[in-house]
Amino acid sequence: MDIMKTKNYNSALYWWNYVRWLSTVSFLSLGILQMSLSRTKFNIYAFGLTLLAITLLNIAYSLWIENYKSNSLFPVIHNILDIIIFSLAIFMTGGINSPFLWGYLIPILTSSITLGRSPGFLASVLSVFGLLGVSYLSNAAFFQQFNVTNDTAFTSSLETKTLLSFVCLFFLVYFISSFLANALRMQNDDLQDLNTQLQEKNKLILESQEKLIEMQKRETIYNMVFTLQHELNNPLAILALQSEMMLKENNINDNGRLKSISDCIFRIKQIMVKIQKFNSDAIPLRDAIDGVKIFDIEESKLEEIAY
Amino acid sequence: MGRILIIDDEQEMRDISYQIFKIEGYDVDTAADAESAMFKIKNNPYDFLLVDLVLPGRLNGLDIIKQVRKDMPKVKIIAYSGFSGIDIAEKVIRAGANNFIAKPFRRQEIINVVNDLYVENNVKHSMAM
Repeated sequence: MDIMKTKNYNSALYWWNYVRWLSTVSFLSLGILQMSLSRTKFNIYAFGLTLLAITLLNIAYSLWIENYKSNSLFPVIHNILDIIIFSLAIFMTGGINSPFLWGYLIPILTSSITLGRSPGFLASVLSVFGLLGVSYLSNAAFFQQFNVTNDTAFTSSLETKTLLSFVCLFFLVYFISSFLANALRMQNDDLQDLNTQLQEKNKLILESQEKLIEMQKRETIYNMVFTLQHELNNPLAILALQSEMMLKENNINDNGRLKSISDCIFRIKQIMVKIQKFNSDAIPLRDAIDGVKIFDIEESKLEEIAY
Repeated sequence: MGRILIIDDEQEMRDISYQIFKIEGYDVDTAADAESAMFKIKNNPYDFLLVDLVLPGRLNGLDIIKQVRKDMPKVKIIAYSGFSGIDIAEKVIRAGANNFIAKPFRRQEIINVVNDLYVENNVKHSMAM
C-alpha cells in the first residue's frame, strides 16, 4: 500500500525528469551545432555556458525529486532560472525566429507538473514575457550586430503571428499538463487518505484481535476454574461432613487430627475462591517467563479479594 | 420436627446429609435427580427441600426451585452447590430459595439454617392462630 500511495504521481515526476534531460540537452546541443555552422557573431562559448547552466539545473531538479520534494521554494527559483536561461539560449539562436522557441515549454511543463496550476500559469506568463523580451531585443539596434537573423528578412506581421501562436501553444500546454498533473495529484491524495484510513483500520483490527484473544484466554481460564471449583468442592463437602460426623459419633480422643483435616478442607475452599477471583479483568496479566503470563497480584492483595 | 427432602446426585452426600438430619430428629427422604424429586414433592408434603444446583438430566436445581416456589409457596428451600459467589447466590434467591450455602460447609452450619427456618415457620404459625 505504501508503494501504491505515491506510485502514480512519482512516476509522472520521474518520467518528466527523463524527458527534461533528453529535450534540454538535445535542444541546446543542436543549438551549438547550428551556431557553429551559421554566421552568428555570438561567442559559441557563451552558448556552451548556457548549456552547462541548464545541465546544472537538471541535476538540481533530479536531486530535488530524489531528496527534497517537501521544499517548494526550490522549484519556484528553479523554474524562473529555467525561463531566463532558455530566453538567453533562444536569443542567441535567432530570437523570435529561433527554431527552439518551444524550449519554453520545458519550464511551463515543469511548473505545471511539479508545483501545480498557479505556478504553471505563472511560468506560462513569464515565458510569454521572455518571448516578448527576446523579440524586442532581437529587433534592437544594439543587438542586431550579434543576431544570427541579420540575414533573415521577416515582417512584423509574421512576428506577431508567430508570437500569438507561441502564446497560444504555451497556454494550451500549460492547461493540459496542469490538468493532468492535478488529476494525478488528487488521485495521489485520495490514495494517501485511503492508505491512512486502511492503516488505522488495520491497527484497530489488530488491537481488537489481541483483546479478543485475551478475552478468550480469560474465558477459558474462568471456565476451567469454575469447573475445578465445582468438582473439588463436592468431594470436599462430603469429606468435611464425614469428618465432623466421625468426631460426633465416635468421640475420638485425638480430636486435633480430625479438626486439622476439617481446617484444611476449608483452607482449600478459600484457595478456590481466591483462584476464581484471580480471573477478574481488574487484575492485569504480566510476563513471568518468555511467553508465559501470570496474574500480577501481590501476596498482600490476596486477602483483600478473597472472602 | 419437619419433613426434609434431600436432592443430590452424589450418593455420599445424600447419605451423610440423611444421617445428620435424622440425628437432629427430622423425617428425611432423598432423591438423586430432578425428575424423581419432582415426583416425590408432588406426592408428599415436605417442609424443607435441600437442593443441589447441578443435577443430571433435563432439569437442574434452579428449575426445581422455580417450580416448587410456584406450586408450593410455603415449602422452605435451601440450595447448595460446589459453585460459590454472590452472583450464584443472587440467582438462587431470585428463583425463590430461602437460603444458599456454598460447598463445603460445616455440619452445624446447615443444621442452623434448617432449624432457623423451622423456628421461623413455627412462630408464623403460632401468630396466625
